[in-house]
Amino acid sequence: MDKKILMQDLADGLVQRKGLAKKEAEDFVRSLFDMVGEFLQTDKIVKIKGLGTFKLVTVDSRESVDVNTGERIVIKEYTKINFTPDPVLRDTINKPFAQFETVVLYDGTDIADMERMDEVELAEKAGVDLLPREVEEGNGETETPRQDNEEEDVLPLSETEPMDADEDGEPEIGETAGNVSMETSGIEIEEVEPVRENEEGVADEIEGAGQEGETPSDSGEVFSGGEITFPEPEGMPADENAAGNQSASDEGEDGSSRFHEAGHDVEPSEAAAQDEVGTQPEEGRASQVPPHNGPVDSSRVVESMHVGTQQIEVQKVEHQTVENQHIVHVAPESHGRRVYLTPWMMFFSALLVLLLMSISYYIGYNHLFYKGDGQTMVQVPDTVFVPMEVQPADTLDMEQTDTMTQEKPDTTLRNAAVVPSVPRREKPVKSQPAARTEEMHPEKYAQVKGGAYEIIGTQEKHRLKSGETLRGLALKYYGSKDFTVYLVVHNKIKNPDLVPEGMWLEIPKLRLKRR
Amino acid sequence: MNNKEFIAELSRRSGFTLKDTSSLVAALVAEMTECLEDENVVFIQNVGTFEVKKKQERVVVNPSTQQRMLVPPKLIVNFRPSASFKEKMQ
Repeated sequence: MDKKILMQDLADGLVQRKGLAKKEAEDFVRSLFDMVGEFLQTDKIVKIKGLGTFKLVTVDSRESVDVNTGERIVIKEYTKINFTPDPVLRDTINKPFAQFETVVLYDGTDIADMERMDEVELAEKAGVDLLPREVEEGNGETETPRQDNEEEDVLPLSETEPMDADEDGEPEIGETAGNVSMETSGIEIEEVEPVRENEEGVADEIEGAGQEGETPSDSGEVFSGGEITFPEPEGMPADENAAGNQSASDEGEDGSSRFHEAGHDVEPSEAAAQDEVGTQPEEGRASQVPPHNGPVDSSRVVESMHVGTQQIEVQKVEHQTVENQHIVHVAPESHGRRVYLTPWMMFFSALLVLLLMSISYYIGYNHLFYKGDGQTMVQVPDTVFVPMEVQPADTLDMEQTDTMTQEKPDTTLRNAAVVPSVPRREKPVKSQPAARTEEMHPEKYAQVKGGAYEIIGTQEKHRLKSGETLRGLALKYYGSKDFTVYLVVHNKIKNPDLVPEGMWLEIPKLRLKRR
Repeated sequence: MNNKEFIAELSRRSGFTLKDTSSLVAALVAEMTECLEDENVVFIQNVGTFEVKKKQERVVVNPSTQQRMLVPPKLIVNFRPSASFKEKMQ
């Protein structure tokens, strides 16, 4: 390690390998490197198989500023010697880190967190050796046992997700950065999983949540539920939380309340778990403070161990809700999931706004242009003209049959019926529905009083013909059947449903009210 | 100058056959690789130093998609030409 190998040592190696004389080997090595220099001068490029390529690169002259004096100076043109190692050599050297691959980072992944963990790691290495996690420069072999541990930690998290395979292959970056990303990814999977289970378990929820179909928003629901039952987990920004709650509460109200119930059901186990979790928020906060001191760091490690044990415990309990809430505690490290949530939040809020707009428009439209129209439409039914000759005959028949059948038992009733039957013969139509029409007193037509028009006199007189209706007249004179009420009020018609044929109607003259 | 030309010239100078020369070069390279693998520094007088350096992992951003990626740490072979070698090249 870090030994200085000289040309002589290389020659010795050649002697051993090829059985050359020492002198010969030394000469050979020397001439080889001499040639590199020589040909580099002439050809600008020298390629040696298995070692790499030496290249001469000319750097153009450029202007710069003297650091000390601030003067502008010109850096002269010069040649740079560039060495690109042969892929074979490069791969051989990089073997310890070969299993790593470039990982895509999603929004919200806190890199500061990783750096923080980095420091923790270093501190760990210096003092507390709770976990044989690796930071050693260059030497990656020692990492492999750790990786196994890591997988064990992760596996209970992510049950038997297909992602597992990926995770095995996923670069376990020697510095904690990798560890963090792995842990978080493991958690992310887990988050989605229990939600699914929940949906199955709670049948009612399926309708609400199932319509959305998207797991992200669902997880948001569950998330809000978890947050309600539990105090603020770890170092998550409060307002972000609030936003999540608000948006999720719309569709997730059911879910969260349900969650509450479920949470109560498993109170004992939950409480037990909470004891363990209880220390977490503190740790989260503590670790946000730059961790230069050992104790905090060790607690951090303990926390990570906690997470593992919690997960196992949770599995024993085998209750999804508890599991979920655990995850809520662990999850804040992975802000990436929020990315999915926001478009849905936006979508729903936009929908809400649209709905409000349409409602207000609808109300405003009615209010402005059809003053209380809805009421009148109900109050003014179709006006029916009944020929006067037919009605009396009918009622007479009815009267007769009534008296015939009822005779004695209802004498009072008969008397009552007989007494008014005399005037009824003359005006049967008007008297009969009198009780009903009293409800529809002209004063009730509020829109005539409070409406946009007022009656200022009689325009003309009209004699009702068979087949004509008040509505028809309103439509004829004013262009809208909505003006029927003015006719009714002006002519003091008791029952607009029955207007006798041949009646003289005064068509009122209307004027738009000034306000 | 490619490897073939280099071997030919080297065999002419050292007096070995082409085949021997190429095998010797391969052996030398293997020796150097072995040394570097053990994280030793190979120092060659008047030429320079071959050493292994560790590059830290870093986050890169794809400028077109704004996608952030974590590039893992790696070990690379670094060649540092000596002062005399540099002077010779000017």
